[in-house]
Amino acid sequence: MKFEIAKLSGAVTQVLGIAIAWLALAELNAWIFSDLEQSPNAHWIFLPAAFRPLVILMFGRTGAAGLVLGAFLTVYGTTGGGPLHEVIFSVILGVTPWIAVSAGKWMMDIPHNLAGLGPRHIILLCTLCASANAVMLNGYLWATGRLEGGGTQILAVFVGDLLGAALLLLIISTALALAFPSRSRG
Amino acid sequence: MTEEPLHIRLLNLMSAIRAMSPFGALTADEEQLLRSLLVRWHEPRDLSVGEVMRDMTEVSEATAYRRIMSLRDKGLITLRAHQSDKRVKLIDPAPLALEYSEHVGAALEELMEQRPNR
Repeated sequence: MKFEIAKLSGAVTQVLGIAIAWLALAELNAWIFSDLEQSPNAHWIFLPAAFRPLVILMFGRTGAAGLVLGAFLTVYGTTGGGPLHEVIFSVILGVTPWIAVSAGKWMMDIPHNLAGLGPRHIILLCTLCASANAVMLNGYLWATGRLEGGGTQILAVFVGDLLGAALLLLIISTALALAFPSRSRG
Repeated sequence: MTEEPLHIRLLNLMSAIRAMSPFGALTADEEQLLRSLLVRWHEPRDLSVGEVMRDMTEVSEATAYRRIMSLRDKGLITLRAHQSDKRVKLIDPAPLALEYSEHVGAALEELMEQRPNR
């Protein structure tokens, strides 16, 4: 019983942590790249995009739950579409990367412990997530008559996710390379 | 939920992200391998992965293969299938490797010019 409670509280902590981190990244992106906003749902550079596949790789379904909550915190009261629309919107934003990463892991035979994960895999997973997000997000908006901007909106989501992911991964990888430089074997 | 330890996934993920950095330096072993490839690419024949791995007698096959793949992941070499036997992979220099070679050559020339004539 105690073990189950500890496990549950660990998962809840992870979900909350991921949600807060997502919200912070989204706010940072909105502040830095405010001029690159295509619409409230699309930015030509979207830094948090890299966060999605990385979180799913690390935390699996718990990560998806964190992304759903984070997306809800981000869109709450901003869409003008009511609570149900915001909940569905958030679920799509959180579950879509989980589906994309799961499919990518299966296609590229990436194990659960991520052994053998390389830069090519991360790039492909980010591309898969960007594609899936552009299709699902805008597909939902189109189905509910809320799609504004047509093809430009779809392109902005895809390009924004890719550019944002590339930029954020460049920053993180450089920080890691500086903090943990390669060592040659003796 | 996955059962594997979180820190194992974190270490593998960090390693993969770190390898994406364009500023990640080559290890001494990778640099040595690249230099030997640069010399061998002057020969008028194709160079296969198997041939390079066989010549790396000081390390295991797995290590040799890993170093070759590392050079590929860092954008220094490209691999292509042999025309007649698709199982054989041939190693070609990527533009970055040729640029590296030019930079090393230029640096050496500059060094030689700066030395006083004897």
